[in-house]
Amino acid sequence: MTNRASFFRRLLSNRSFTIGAALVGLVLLLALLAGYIAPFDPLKGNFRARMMAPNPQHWMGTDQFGRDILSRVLHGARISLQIGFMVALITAASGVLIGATSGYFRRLDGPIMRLMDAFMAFPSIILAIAISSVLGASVVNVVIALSIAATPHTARIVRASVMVVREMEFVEAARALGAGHTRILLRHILANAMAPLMVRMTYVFAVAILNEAVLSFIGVGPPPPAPTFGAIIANGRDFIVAAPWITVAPGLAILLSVLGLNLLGDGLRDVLDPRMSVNTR
Amino acid sequence: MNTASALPMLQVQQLSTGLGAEGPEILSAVDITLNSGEVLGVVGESGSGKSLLALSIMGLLPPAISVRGGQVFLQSQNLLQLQAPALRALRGKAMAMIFQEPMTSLNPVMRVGQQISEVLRWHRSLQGEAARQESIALLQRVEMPDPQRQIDAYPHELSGGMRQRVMIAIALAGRPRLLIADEPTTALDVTIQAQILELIRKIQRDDGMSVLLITHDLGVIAEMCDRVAVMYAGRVVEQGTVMDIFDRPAHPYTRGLLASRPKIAAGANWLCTIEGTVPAVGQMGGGCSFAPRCKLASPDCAQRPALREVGPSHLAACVTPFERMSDPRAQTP
Repeated sequence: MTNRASFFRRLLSNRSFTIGAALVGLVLLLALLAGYIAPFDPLKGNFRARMMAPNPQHWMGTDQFGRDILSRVLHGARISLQIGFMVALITAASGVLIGATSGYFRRLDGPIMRLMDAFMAFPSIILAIAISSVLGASVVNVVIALSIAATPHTARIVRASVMVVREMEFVEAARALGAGHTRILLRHILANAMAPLMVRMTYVFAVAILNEAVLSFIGVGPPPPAPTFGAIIANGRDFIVAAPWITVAPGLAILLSVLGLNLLGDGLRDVLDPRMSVNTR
Repeated sequence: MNTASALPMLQVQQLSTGLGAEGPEILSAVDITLNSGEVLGVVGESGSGKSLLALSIMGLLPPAISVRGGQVFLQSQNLLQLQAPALRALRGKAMAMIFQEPMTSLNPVMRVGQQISEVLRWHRSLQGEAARQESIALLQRVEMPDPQRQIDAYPHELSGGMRQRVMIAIALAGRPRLLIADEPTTALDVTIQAQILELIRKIQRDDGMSVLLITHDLGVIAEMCDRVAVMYAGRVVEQGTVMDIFDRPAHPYTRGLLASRPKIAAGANWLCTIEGTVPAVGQMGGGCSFAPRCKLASPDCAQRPALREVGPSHLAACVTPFERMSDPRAQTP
């Protein structure tokens, strides 16, 4: 109990964690409340208000169909964060499954890791583009593509920490008491190997938001008119000189989300693994 | 004490282990017998194969090391012929093990009570409140102060001695007939050592449990054991009662060990040692492995001496047992 309390105290006194958490919290809150606070319908055009620069009525201007950019970004945050969260969750699950199997059962380690190496040989964004163009453009397929692309590295990280914990004495002690493989793997090894995975998840979350934007930008993301950060930018690129606000607003949103998640992850890592921490204060 | 049978609790016969299939031999034809309700000490210096013997009995050898031959009987059951699930069911129930390092032998993210209850659930099908009450009772048994509160402690909140008590409680949870204690006190302070040994001894007497106590500390042996096996370089060189070993040591190595105990008496400011070191694994010849360090070595020692009776239930593997060497203490300046 004291342990847990001091863990949170250390988290809250970590500057990069608190700033990151505040940023992520803000973006999350805006995304959740998009339906209430967005001043306009994100999908409905208004021909009398096309390509308007930011003004008191449209804080971030409008696009070529007269759609309110602020409303689109708020609703876009919803989809983009959902994609990021789902990708982080699925990647964690598949990474733990593959990494733990590979790290614990020595005989499976070689074959599994060589397969992961094969995936890692492709830059993850190329892999995601390939998968998502095969599967077709939809939110679900983007999530699948990005999860597959992020899994090999995650599996590798889980495998490494499983291999460290596997050799610890309390694991042998558990075995000497008659614990089976599943029990040892879940209660004794994975429970002690979670820290790097938690940090990795914040990173996967951030990269998924970024990569979703890339996929949307080149046209293999969720189909229009669904607003996602990437889709709004892709739509605005033709007018980047005449109407830069169309791309700047979602760009800033991506910046804030990714920066927030990265700071959050850094802070988490510093607290979970004090040896790795770089003293910035 | 034991009503089950006259069979020894544990009998290791000609057990050999080696590195892989082809590599050098590590344990070499080890014979030990542990009778029911008895404490057998296994003593030897670092690298003599004591811990490996314990792991072989438990079936927990690291993957690189394999059993080459021999038998391990737990009463009438040949452990080396059991399939993994059957062996797993015996571990923690029929036989349990206490490790050397109480600091690292407990899972840091589980409360003490959970770790005890886990064993109760596997081996005695106790759940929930019943398991909790039994865990508290076990902690009481190992003389843990304030067990009602400590049951919810995490290992890092406990001292080394208290953790070793928890380890013992966990080991006792399955009510084992055989307890293997691998240097249970080496990592502890001297005062705590005495308490823990006293505790093990008390529980052993109360339950009539058989204990295999591995140590390099002859003082611990003298205090705790009924019988002793002396190991050297992966072999048992002498086995007998504590009296035999301390009063009538037959093997020159045993005599060397006894002579090298530090003494406070009569101006002894010189530590006796056995010259040389244990031969490295794979460096052992066919003969007596102690011969290169033995002052009594003769050409006969090129043949490996078998463990043979030199007194009633007193075995030694030496061609010239009981031969007196000139007392090394007499030579010290």
